[in-house]
Amino acid sequence: MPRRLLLAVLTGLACGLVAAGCYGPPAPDVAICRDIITRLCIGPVCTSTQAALNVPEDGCETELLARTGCGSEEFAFTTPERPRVLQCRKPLIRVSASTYVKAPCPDVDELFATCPDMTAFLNGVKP
Amino acid sequence: MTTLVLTLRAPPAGVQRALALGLAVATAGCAPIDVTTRTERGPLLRTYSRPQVVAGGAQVEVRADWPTLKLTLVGFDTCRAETVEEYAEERITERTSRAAGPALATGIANVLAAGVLYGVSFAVSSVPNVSYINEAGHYGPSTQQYVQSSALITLLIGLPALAVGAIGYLRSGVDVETAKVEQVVSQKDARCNDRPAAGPVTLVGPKGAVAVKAAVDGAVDFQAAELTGAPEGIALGEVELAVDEEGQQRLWGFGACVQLERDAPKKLEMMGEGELLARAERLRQCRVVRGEAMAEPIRAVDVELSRRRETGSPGAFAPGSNVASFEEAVSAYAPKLKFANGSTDLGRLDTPEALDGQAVLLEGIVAEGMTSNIGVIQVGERQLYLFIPPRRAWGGDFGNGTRIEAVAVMAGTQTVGERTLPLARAVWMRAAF
Repeated sequence: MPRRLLLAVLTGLACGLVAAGCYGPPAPDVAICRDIITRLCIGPVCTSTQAALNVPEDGCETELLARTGCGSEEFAFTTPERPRVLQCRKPLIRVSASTYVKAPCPDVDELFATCPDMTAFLNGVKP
Repeated sequence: MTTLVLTLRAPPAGVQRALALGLAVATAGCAPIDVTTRTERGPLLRTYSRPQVVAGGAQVEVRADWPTLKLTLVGFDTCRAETVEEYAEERITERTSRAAGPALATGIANVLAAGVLYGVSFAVSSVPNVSYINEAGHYGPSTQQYVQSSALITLLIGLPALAVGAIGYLRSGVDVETAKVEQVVSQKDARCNDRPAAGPVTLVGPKGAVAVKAAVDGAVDFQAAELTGAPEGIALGEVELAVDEEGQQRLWGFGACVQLERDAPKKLEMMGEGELLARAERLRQCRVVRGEAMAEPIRAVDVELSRRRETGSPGAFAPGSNVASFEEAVSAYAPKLKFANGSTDLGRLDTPEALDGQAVLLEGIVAEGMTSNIGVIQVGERQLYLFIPPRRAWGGDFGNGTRIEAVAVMAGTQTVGERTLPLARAVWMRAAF
């Protein structure tokens, strides 16, 4: 019995270590930027997205890539900076952190409500 | 080009120590050791005799040369010869761990599997999972990282199991201690080293010490005038000495002589019945010490007792221990009443006070030995107590159911517990009919 308990504890410990600390290299800024735009533009585009960013249903992704400059492979965040972008991205990955997953509209609404600087960035406003 | 990074965050130092301690405790708990000890006797090595001297005691010899009581005290040891057999004996202690084997196998298998997984991890893709970006902006782990993590988990399972197995294996074993043991197979005790005993000698009477003197070179003499009472026993220091029967008779006789000397001179005719009987008994006891010197006083008392008996004085019949046989008791006390099954005299027991002092011939069955000095005798349908004086001249064991006959003197009634019965004091008693 103690041996089984020990094994269970060790297994749990190892799994915890894996879950908490096992991940790959940092994704480049351009990949993060494109991930955000993809989550916003997978149809049907949320009403709040259309209202805040004034983008059409079709061509949303192309429009936003062009506004933000994320279409370029050399893109890097300036304003807002990468940590701020990652903070604002959290509502969008609440359902899943896998790419090509549409963010639910309430989560999108939360993004626009809490991150005006991000909204400005997506609108192509330069600092 | 994508860079693969495997990052394992180490827990804080305190947590590490706690984990190490917990691991050690858990590991020790997983490796219980069964300890079995057995003793095996080997061959007989030798047999030898071992002499020993142990504490013995002291013996006292009593002689009486009136008016001197002469005691000779001899101390002695007990010489003991023991026959000892010496054996070789092996004390075998076996320590086994039932968990050692399975734990060792599990540990080895898991450690080997961890090694294999780690090796295989270099053969699989190290490209990170780009279809996943976590909150911190990191890609998901590569297949290589997954395999290496599995190797780590397997290693974490295997190492403690390996430790449990190794500890159990190392602690297992057999210890054999060989020793010589002795067994005493027989012993013989013999008195030895006789020597004069020294120390304070006390003559002990019914109410305590009657005289104390120091023994010198194992001898001490007491003059009759030095005694404050009649001695019944002798003690050396705090230890009461065993006195042989002959010596005990002399001691009692000497005590009786001392008591007679202390009695105020009085004419026999003037003595009360109890006083006369007591004197008669003391005279007979004293005869053991003073011999023929007591012949005349005894004869005088007997004459007086005979006179009173012939005149019907009930006090002439009294218990005593100085008749030498049943027939002598019958002759001396001439019982006029007979208590036996069916005898007409039994009816006299209705008024035991009226029988006070009368000698009776008693035939009955011991119904109940209540103490060593008093018992219940069943005579037909009646019962009575029979008092047996501590200093009696007859012997024998009269257990329950023994048929006895006795010469006795009636002495009123006696209450023991809630039972009141007529009391008879035995003069002589023997098994009969």
